[in-house]
Amino acid sequence: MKQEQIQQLLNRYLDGLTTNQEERQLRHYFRKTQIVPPEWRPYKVLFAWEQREDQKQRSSRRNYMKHGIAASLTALILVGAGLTAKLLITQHSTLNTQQNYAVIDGQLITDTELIMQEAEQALVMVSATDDETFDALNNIQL
Amino acid sequence: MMKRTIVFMFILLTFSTMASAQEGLQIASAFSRFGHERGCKMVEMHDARLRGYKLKTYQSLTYRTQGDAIAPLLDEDRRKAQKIREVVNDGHVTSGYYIMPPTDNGLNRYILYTQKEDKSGTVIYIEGTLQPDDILKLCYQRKN
Repeated sequence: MKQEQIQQLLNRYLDGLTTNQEERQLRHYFRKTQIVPPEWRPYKVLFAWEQREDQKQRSSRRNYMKHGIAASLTALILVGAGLTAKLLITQHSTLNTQQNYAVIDGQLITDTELIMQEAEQALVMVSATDDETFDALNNIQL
Repeated sequence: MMKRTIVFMFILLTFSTMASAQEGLQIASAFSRFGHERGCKMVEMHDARLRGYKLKTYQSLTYRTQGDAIAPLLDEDRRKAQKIREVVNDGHVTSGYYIMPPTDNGLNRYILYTQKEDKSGTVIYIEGTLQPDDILKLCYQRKN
């Protein structure tokens, strides 16, 4: 970029008329150009300072974002853990209330009447069937 | 991490509850191995009342063909039984019941079973405050 153009941009900058694009051009010029005319040195310092501040702000924004994301994730994990704990406690309570069950041919039965019926049937199975055996068992003194 | 810990604790709690039911008994594996198989019926009740008797745990398994696999398990528990009563028919044990050592918290434990030559049978595990006499009445009361 020619010095005349830079001067024009600087004039516009001082008048507050520069666009973002023009300001970027100025910043770029002063960053890349090591040796500038003595009258532009204050501008170099100014743009360098401006750039540092801009970077600080970006970094700060990134940190805010990082902290924000971390806080959100922590909150999500805590809410998730809370919900999971609640779900597990509910499931465990359900297991406790439904701890009576039967499994017939691999199928789970929770109907109380049917469970009792099956339990009775099993008792009948282990009971002696014929009278002779029944009487013998009935007379056993444990 | 916390979720994983809660899940682990839940699994531990579930397994410890399951394990305490027939602690040290081989028939526990009969219920877990065959309870969900086709041709089998399994019942599990806790704090239930059956024929007027309050049972802390009642578990039964009725099977059609698993007799050969269950017999050695019963035999193992037979060795630990405090008292054994068996009905022998033609040289074969057809039914019996074992009084097992009580649980740590003093509950009595009983195993009752019947087995047929066709490898079908029924195994019942009872845990509670019932006395041996109550078991006789519970299982062998005549139905009129």
